[in-house]
Amino acid sequence: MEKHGVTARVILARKPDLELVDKISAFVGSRGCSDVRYTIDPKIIGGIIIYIGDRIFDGSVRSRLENIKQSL
Amino acid sequence: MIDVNAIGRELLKKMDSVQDVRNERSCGRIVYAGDGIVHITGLRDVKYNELLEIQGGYHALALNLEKFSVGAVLLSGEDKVRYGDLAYSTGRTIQMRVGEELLGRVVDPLGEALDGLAALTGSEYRPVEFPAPSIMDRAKVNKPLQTGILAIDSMIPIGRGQRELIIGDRQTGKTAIAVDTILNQRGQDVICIYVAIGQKASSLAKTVNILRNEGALEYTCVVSSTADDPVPLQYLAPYSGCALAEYFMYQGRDVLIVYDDLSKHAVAYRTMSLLLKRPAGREAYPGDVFYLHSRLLERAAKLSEEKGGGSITAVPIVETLAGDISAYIPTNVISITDGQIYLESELFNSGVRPAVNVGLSVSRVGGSAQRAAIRQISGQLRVNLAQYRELAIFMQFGSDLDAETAKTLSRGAKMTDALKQRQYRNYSVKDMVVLLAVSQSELVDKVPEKRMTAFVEGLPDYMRVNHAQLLEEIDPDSKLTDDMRDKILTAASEYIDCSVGTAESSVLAPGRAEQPEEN
Repeated sequence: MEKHGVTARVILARKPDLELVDKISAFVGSRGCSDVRYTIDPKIIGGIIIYIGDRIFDGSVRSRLENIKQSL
Repeated sequence: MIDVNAIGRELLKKMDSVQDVRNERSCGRIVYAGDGIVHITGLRDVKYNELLEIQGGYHALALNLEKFSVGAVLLSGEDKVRYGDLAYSTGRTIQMRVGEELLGRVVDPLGEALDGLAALTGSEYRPVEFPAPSIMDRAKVNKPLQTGILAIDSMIPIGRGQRELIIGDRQTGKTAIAVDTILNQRGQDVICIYVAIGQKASSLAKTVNILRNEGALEYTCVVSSTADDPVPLQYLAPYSGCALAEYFMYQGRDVLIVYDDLSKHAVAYRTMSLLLKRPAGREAYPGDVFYLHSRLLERAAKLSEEKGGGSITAVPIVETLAGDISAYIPTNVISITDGQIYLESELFNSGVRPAVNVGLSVSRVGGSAQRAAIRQISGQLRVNLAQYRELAIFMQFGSDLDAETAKTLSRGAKMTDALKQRQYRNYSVKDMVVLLAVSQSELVDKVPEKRMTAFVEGLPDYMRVNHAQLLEEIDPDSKLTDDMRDKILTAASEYIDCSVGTAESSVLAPGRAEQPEEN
């Protein structure tokens, strides 16, 4: 799949501050994305989920909690 | 009192061992869901047979990797997944929980307990698909696996590490033979695994109860996929059972695994294949239905001493329709296995139980593993029986027989009677030596034809009570000496005298009770 011009979708629990936006842009840019779309979803509790094409980077508190729940 | 701190410490320790989620994964979206099949776009780096995770905590198995989508079968959540749901790759294949704790339990093909007993806690897993042992890792089959069934152990002997098919129509006692074999492994240091594939839950419950009541469950694990389970689980069940068997085999132990039955397994795989739109072949089975069973049965083996010397003895069961062993699945499995036990409904209904057709049943490797004494005295059995049957068919039309022919016929009939055996009535090897020696001698001429079955049933008990010393002396691993043989025959003739002579009051008098039905 062509990575150029792909829009990254970022899910956060709260509105990001400027520093975070910079960091996200840098990360997404390194993956060949120019455009970022933000979604705020408190259900992920904290952390961040980034979708780029068919890759998912899941650093949300919710998925980590679920993982702990499954492992215990 | 409960020590809260200890619990806290334990939890913290466990938390440390929890691996953090792989936070970069590939994902895709479901673009089709139906009949337990999903098509997913995206998932660029998914591998064949990879386990997929679907939004909502469900799982699927990636089976078709195509240009624009991935075809997968759902292991759970068949009626829950929706169009547009996300699916993630996991980077691993399906694994089966293994371990000692599975013995005595009923589990599903992923190793989760189904019997309502304590939750399984072990964390050892084995991949469900695993390569078979290589040529160099194998050894010759050299140790017998006693089924406790006279007709089988004498004429169709099974060795540890062999693959012996049980084939026959419905209601011919296929499962009964397998269950009897499991029951006979008590104290033989053989671990048993019973894999139920697409069976009625009621039949399975019955089998489990028998195993439990007879005390066989403690060395047995039941891997269950009943008819209402999702088709992919039925497809996985034999491989899961085999993974568990391998766990024990590679520890150097002997395992007996029963696949009940592979015809339903083939049907489950056909269902999946047709829904995944794979091309259909003969009887609508997909092209790789032979490989489906060959790769499973190839995992049964006798390992060499360097590899620990463990073994997996596979006993697959195949159900035929109207005795047709030339259908697709029966011919496939017959050609894969090292022999077959062929059961006939005609024999079953005429009271020959187990309904083994001796002419069509063979064991291609078990002979070398047979106990010496049994091999010696059962050598002529097959030939004699074949001659008797031929003569019997021929004589159906003749009315007056000369004395010699009548005698041959009567002996043959008695021999056939001697091979009849009730369910859950396994013979020990020594019982078999006695029975084979006696039933092939002239002694049987003294037993009335109608009483033969009762005579055979009573003889082992009589020997145990009155000639324990003699039984002690029998060594199944060396040839039976003439002296020994005479002693056995003398003891048996005592039994004939005391029971046949006073028939009405003896153990031989009561009519033979009907055998329990298979289902």
